[in-house]
Amino acid sequence: MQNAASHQITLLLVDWSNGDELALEELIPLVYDELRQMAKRYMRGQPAGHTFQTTELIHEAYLKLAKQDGQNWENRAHFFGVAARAMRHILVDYARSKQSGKRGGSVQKITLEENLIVSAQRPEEIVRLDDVLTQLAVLDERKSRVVEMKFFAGLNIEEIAEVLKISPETVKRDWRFSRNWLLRELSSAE
Amino acid sequence: MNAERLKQVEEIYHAVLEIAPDKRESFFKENCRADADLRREVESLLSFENTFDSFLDQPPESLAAEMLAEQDEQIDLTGKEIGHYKIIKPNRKVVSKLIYEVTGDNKNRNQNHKR
Repeated sequence: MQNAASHQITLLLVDWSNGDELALEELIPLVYDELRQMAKRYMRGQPAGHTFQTTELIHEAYLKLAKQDGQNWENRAHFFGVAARAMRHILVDYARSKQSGKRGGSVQKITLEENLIVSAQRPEEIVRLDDVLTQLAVLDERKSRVVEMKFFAGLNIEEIAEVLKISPETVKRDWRFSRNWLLRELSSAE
Repeated sequence: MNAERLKQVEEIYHAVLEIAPDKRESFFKENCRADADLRREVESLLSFENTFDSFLDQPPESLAAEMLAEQDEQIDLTGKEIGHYKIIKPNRKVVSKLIYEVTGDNKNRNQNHKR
C-alpha cells in the first residue's frame, strides 16, 4: 500500500470513526483499489494451488496500513468494516460483469483456451445475494453488515463483534437468523 | 415486511429454537394464535436450520480467485502471428476463453487455436 494512499485512508478512517458519514463514501473506492492491487500481488507470491482467502488479504492490508502509520494505529475495526464493504463491491461487480459478458460479436475470432477455474458460487447467486442483502439492510442494517463481513470478507465472529461493538453472542444470533432469512428469500425468488 | 415485523419474527424464531421440538406446537399455539402468518414465517425460516452446505456457508473465495486469475493474465498476444493470422487486439473475454480479433491472408478461414 503506498504511503500517500494509506495516509489518506487513515485520515478518512479517523473522520468516519468521529461520525463523518461522508468519509465512508470516499473510503470505499480507495480501499477497493488498494485491495484489488494487493490481491494481484498477493496471488503472484503464492505457490501454485494456493487457495485464495479474502480474510488473509484483508488482514495483510491492515497490517501494512498499520505498520506505515505507526504503532498506535487504532482503526483496525473500522478498516475491517470498510474492507468488507469493498470486497462485496469487488465480487459483486465481477459477478455482474460475468453475467453481462455473454453476448457475442461479429468480428472474425480465434478462440484460445485457458485454464478453467470453476467457482463454487455461480455469479447469478452472488448478484441475487447482493440484491437480497440490500433488502435486509432496509429492515435491519446491522444484520446486513454481519453477513457482509462474514460472507464477503471472511471475518470471524470476534472480529465482527469488534467492528460492530456488540457481543459475539449477538453476532452469532444475527448470523443464524440472517442466513436462514436470506436462504428463504433466495429460494422463494427462484 | 417492515422492520418491526422482522423483529417480531426474530423474537419468536429465537424463542422457538430454545424449546424442544415436541413442545413447539404448544408454544406456537400460545404465541401465534391470532397470527397464522407469523407462525408460517417462523416455520419457513426454521426449515433452513439444518442445511449446512448452502452457498452462504462457503465464502466466495473461488470466485475471487477466478477474478484475480483473469486480471493477472500477463500474456499479451497482440501483434503475434498464428498460422495465416495476425492478432490485432484483444476483443472480449467469454467465461474462460480470451477472444482476439485477427487479420491475415486467408480471412475466410476460421480456425480454433489452443494455447
